[in-house]
Amino acid sequence: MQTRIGRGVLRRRMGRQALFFMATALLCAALVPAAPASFRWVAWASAGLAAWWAVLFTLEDLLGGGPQEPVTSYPAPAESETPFPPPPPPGGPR
Amino acid sequence: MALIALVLVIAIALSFDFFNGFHDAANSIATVVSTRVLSPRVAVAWAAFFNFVAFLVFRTKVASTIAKDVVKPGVFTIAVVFAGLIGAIAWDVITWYLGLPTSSSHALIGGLAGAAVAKAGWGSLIGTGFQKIAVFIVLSPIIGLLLGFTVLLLVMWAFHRYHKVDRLNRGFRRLQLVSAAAFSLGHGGNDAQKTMGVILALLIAARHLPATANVPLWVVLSAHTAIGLGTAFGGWRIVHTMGSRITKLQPVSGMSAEAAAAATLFFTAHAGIPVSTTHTITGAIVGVGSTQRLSAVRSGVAGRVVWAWILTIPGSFAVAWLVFQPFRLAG
Repeated sequence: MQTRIGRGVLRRRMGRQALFFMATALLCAALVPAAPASFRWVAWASAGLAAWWAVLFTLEDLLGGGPQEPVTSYPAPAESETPFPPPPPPGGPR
Repeated sequence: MALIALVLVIAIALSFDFFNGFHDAANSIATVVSTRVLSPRVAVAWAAFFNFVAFLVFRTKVASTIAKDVVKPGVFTIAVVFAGLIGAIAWDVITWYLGLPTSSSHALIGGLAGAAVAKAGWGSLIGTGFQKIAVFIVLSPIIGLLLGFTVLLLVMWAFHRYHKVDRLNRGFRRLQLVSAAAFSLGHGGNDAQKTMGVILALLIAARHLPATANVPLWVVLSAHTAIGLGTAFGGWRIVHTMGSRITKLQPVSGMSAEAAAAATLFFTAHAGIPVSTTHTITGAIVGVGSTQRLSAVRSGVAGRVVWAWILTIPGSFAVAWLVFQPFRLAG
């Protein structure tokens, strides 16, 4: 999807979060046939939740809130500060 | 002689449970210590207590799965269970020494399967049981991830207009006591039951119990005591070395990750599915981290989980198969 800005063109694409959740949804969907019949709903529900987030992130990216790839160079947007720093990796030291 | 062998193997099973709690202790206390909700000493006691009392919350469905849905019950003997436990413990030691990722839960399942195949061939395995376990090896961390992500986003959305950050953090710190307790309940309920299942299989194999028996109360109490003590001793050891290695975590993130992991473990314990609690909390923490940016997802952590999926069951299977060979040759 492209948007004209001045003499340049801004290309919008799916961000990494959208791709990550889409891959997760596909993985869960692939587990459905392998799952026992009584637990297939778990795989479907997981795939559905992941797909939901993939769609939301994709819409956010395509409608202007997400990552953009400038064809001509524009100043990069400032990275917004997040209130919650990333959690530490699990497990303790050996 | 048979009684001595039975007591010895039960002791080995309880030792496996103790060391399971020992090396999983960091998972139980890391988030609640990093947010300074509890002091390390109190966090260890908190986690160990809820590991122990989990028997009051959960039934013994996971134990029944281990005892009756992985290997055909008639195949179990004291020697098979012994070889399975040694296979699991040896694989844990090997991977610890080599720095490879592993899962004690999956190592136990692989060990029991390897010993059973060594005794009675591939027909001794129950396909439907393995099918359920294999699918949830992959699904449980994914469920933790999705729930962790969703819970944190919902919380952030619900409180995005609330400006009194200190008061908000105080509230989430209190909630984290609940989520940490719930996670320790889920951990105890899931992991202790695996040892219960092994002991139940032993007692049935030694004809001390009929094939349709449920887990006796003394087995329930001893397994939960072993894992509680393991958490207490393991957490205590880690408390002295964790220190500043833990990145400071906001209470809301810790609460979300623990709540997501606890919900996953509660569901799997209720459904009788043995899963890796380490992988489940890993998935939940990754899910919480990915609310900010995907670069917060540490690819090394995710890679270790995937390698554990691939290596653990085959590795412990192979070791247990080898350990059983002298018993097979002795007839």
